[in-house]
Amino acid sequence: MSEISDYDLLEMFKQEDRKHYAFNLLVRKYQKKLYWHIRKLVISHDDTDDLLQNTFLKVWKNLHRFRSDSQLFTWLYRIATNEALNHISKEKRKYSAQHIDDKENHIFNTLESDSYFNGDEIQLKLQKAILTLPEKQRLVFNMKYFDDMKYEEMSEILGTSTGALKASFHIAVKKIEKFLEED
Amino acid sequence: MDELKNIAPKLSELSKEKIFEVPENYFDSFPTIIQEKIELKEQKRFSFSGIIQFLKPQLVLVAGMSLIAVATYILLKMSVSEEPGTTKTTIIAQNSEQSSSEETDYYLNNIDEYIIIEAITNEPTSEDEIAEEELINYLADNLDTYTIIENY
Repeated sequence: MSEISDYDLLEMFKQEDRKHYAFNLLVRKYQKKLYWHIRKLVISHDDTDDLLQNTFLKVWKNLHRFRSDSQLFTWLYRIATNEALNHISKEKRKYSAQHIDDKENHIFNTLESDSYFNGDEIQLKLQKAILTLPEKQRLVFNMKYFDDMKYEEMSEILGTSTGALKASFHIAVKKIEKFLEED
Repeated sequence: MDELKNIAPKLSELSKEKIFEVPENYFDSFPTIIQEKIELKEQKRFSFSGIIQFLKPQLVLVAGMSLIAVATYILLKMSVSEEPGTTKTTIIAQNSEQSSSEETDYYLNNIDEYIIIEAITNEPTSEDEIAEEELINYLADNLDTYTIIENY
């Protein structure tokens, strides 16, 4: 069965009696993409689950205001990205309030103890390398490297110029390569 | 991705397969969880708006009365401050008027008119004065207490 188009979803959502059904289809269509987008940023499944729920609740609340001048998936990605970045900032503030200096080690431990992580040694090292990046750089790296997203799409989601995104990706790749080369 | 090979050979060798897992049936149950949360939120929203709807007439009444009270206060304040520099004197005048009226009432209730009449009649008289007894009778018959106090 072919996937329903965004246009049809939005038209269906406008009909009061089909609103819930349309939203259910929207969740089914985008849940995996958004889940993996958030998961790669925050690592933990539980945090991702909370953030994904918040994302869709915000989408439900604001979908009637969505104007078709941008793509639906771009808008959804933007909401999910904001949720994830806000979460990371909150975590950062929590660590600094608790005077935990070794924040990176804490995240590494979370990654290693995550029962839903099944990568090998080199994959673990790659994830650790990604976690050393500043969050915006990490975001750009994930979107380009794992999701193979176009710079134009990334620019629309993140509100940054394509030039800046290319530079950011290049720097991120260099840093990760250096990390992988180390013992 | 050729560019990646050039700038990061080690990274380009790695596979991009998913290294994270999700709990079993997570994506099957997620839409239902979201739907339940939305329904719960909607119920809360409707019950809250129901309370507001129920209280609406009372709220409008309270708001209207508050508005009238505030408007009255502002108007009164403006009318007082329209006469510059008289606020204190007006209050003093009002107080003194009030106290003078209280004094008058006190005297009217407690002073014996006959003492006043006596005092008046003891004053020196002119040559063609009326007989003392006649004067007393005249005053007693024709003057009321207020006139006596005012003229005295």
